[in-house]
Amino acid sequence: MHAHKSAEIKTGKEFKKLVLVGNPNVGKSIFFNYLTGLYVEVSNYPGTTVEILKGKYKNFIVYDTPGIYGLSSFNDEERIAKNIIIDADVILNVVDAVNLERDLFLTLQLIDTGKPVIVALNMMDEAERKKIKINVERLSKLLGVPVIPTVAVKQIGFDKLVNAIENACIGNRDKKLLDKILFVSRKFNISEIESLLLVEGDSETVDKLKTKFDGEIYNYDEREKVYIERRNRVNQIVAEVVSIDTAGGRISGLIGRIAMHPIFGIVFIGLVLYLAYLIIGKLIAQDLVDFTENKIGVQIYEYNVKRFVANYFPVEINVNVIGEDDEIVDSRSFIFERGLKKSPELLSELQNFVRGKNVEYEFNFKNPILVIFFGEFGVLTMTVRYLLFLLLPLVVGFYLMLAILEDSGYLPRLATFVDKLMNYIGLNGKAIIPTILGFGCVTMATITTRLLSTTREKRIMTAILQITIPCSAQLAVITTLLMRAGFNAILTYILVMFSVFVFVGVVLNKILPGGATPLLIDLPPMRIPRIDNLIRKTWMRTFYFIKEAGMWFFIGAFAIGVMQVTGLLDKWIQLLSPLTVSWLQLPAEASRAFIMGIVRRDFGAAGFYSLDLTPMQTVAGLVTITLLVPCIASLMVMLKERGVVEGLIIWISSWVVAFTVGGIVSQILI
Amino acid sequence: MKLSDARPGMELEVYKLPDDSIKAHFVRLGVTEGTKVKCAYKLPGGTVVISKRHQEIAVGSEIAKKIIVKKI
Repeated sequence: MHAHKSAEIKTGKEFKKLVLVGNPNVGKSIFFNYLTGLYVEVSNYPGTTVEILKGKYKNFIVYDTPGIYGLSSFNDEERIAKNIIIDADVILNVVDAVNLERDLFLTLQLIDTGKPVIVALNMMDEAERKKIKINVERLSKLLGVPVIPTVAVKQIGFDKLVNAIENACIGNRDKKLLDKILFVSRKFNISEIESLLLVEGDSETVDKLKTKFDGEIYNYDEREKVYIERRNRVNQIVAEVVSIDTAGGRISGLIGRIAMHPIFGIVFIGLVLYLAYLIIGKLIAQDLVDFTENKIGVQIYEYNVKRFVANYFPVEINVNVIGEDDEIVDSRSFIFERGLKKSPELLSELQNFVRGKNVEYEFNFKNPILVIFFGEFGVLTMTVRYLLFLLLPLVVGFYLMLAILEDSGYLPRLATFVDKLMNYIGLNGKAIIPTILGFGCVTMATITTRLLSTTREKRIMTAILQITIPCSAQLAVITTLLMRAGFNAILTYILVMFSVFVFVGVVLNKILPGGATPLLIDLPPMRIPRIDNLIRKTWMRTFYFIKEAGMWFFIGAFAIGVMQVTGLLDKWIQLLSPLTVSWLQLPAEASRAFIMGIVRRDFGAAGFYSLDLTPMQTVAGLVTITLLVPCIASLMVMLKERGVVEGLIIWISSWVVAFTVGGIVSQILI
Repeated sequence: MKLSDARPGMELEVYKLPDDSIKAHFVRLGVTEGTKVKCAYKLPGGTVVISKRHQEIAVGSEIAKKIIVKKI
C-alpha cells in the first residue's frame, strides 16, 4: 500500500475487502447499511440469483453475504458466502449474543481460515432482557480477536466497532487443525483457507482440486472430527463466558407460539396468505394498477407521447366514444396524411367531435419504425407503461410484503408448516411464497423463486408458475367466463388445472436429479420488523429489479413490434388456426386470443368474450390459455432468472402442455 | 426411540445422529450426540420442532425418523 494518488483510489487498487459474515437474522444488514450509507450496489452473484450487496466504507469495499451457519457448500447461499470470504481481507463477524452457542461455531471456523476477524456481539439488549450475562473481555481473549458489544437497532457500540475494524486480527486457531492446514497447504500449494475447506470436506473445493491431484485429496477429509472438536470448543467457551440468571424462560412470544400450533398455526397461515392476496392480488394488482396503468399510463403518458409524434408524421386516429356502460357507442376515424400540424382544419374537426365526450384514442402510424416504437406494442409506449405503471406498483408491494415476512421471522415458520405438502412436488416449504404470489402476478412470483435454496427447486418452481398458475388479471376474466359457462365447467376447469399443477410438479420431481432439500432450519424469534429496514430493503430490491429487468422488457417489446410490422404475428396466428379448429375444436378466431395472451395474459382470455362458445369449449379454451406461458413480461423475467436455454425450454413446454391438455380436454368433452 | 415418535413437551437427549451432512448441520446449530433438547411442537405431516435454551430448530419428518433420542 503506497501513495495516496486519487487515480489509484478510483481504480480500487488500494481498497481492502471487508466482508460481513453471520448467521441468518443476526442484524447483519443494519451494520452494512451503517457502514456503506446510501451508495450500495446490488448484484447477482455470477450464475446465480442470490443477491450480493456491495458498498464502500473509508478504504474498504464492504460486502454483505447471505446468512450462513457454517462455511461449506450445502446450498447456494453458503457457496456464495464462502467464495466471497475466500477473497476477504478482513472479516466482520456479526454474532447474536442470545444464541452464542449456535453462532460461535461459524466464528471459530472463520478464525480457523487464518483471516483477520473482528466480532460484533450484537443484540446485547435482548441478551440482557433474557438475563444472559457475557464476559466480553474473556470472550475476546479466548477467541484472540476484538469483540465489540453492540445493539444494532439503536446503533449502540457502532463508534467503537468502526474504530476497532483496523484492529481485526488473526485469532486463536485450533492448534492441531492448524498443523494439518499448513501441511495440506504446502503439499498442494493452495491457500490456507482452501486447505481448511479441503480438510473439512467442502464439496466445491474438492471438486475444484480433484482434477489437479487425482483421488489423493480425499484422504484429507476429516469433517466430522473437525466439526465435533470445534463444537466442543464452542461449548467450552460458552460455559466459560456466559452466565444465565434464570432457568431459560419462554422461548418464543405469544405470536410465535400461535404460529407453530398445529391448529391455530393453520388458521394463522390462512390469515396471512389471505391478507397477502388481498393487499397484493387485489388492492395493488387490480385497483391501484387499474388506476396507474389506465389513467396515468394509457390516458396521460401514452396519449401525450403518441399525440406528440402524430404532430409530425402520417397517422390514422380512431376515436371511440365510450358510453355509460363502458361500451363503444360511436366511433370515427381521422386520417392525417402529413401529421397533425399540417392539417389544422381536420384537427379542429376532431376536437369538435370529442368535445364533452368520454373517448378513447387509437393511433395507427403508417411508418413501420414508428409502429415499433410508438404503436400498440411500442417500445416507448407499451413498455414504459408496463414497467412504470403496471409493474412498479406491483414490485414495490411484493418486495414490501416479502421484507415483512422475512424480517418478522414468520417466513421460516410458514415454510416449516407447509414443508411436507410441498415435498410431493419436489419443493420445500419456502416454495409456498412464490406459489401464492403467482396468483397475484406470475412475473413477480418468478423473481421470488430466488428464495429457494437450490437450482433444482428454482427450476421446478419456475416451470410450475409459468405453466400452471393463472395470475390475478387472468383470473378475473376466467372467473367471469366460467360463471357464464356454469357449475360443471367451473368444476372441470379447477380439476384439470389442479391435476396439471400436481402432474408438472411430480414429473419434474421425478426427472430432475436430486430431491427436495430435507427441512432442518433454525427458527428465529418473531420480531416486529423495523420500518426503516423494510423501506430500505424494498427500495433496493425494486431499484435493482427495474434496472435489471427493464432492458429485457424493451427487447421483448421490440421483438413483438418487429413481428407485428413484418406480418409474422399474423402468420403465427394463421399457423395456429388449423390446430385450434380441428384439435381444440374452437373457432379459428380463438387463435388470435392465444397469441394476444402472449402480449398480455388477460387480453388473451378476454378475446373469448366475443366468441360465443359452448360451456365445454370455454373450458378447453381457458385451460389452453392458462397453461400457455403468461405475458411477455413474465417470459422476459423467466429468461433473465433462469437463463435463455432453460427459459426457452419451459416456454416451449408450455405450448406443448397447453395444446396437449387443451386438446385432450376438448376431445373428451366436446 | 426415534425423534419422530416424540411428543410435544418431552425432554430428550440426542443419542444418535445420522452420519452425513445432516450431522454436520446439527453440529453447526449446536446439537451433538448427548445434547439435551425438548420436543416443542409437532406439526401435521410429522415435522418436529425441538428447542434448546433460546433456540428453536425445525426438523423435517424425513430427518426426524433418522434421529435416535432418549427420554429423560
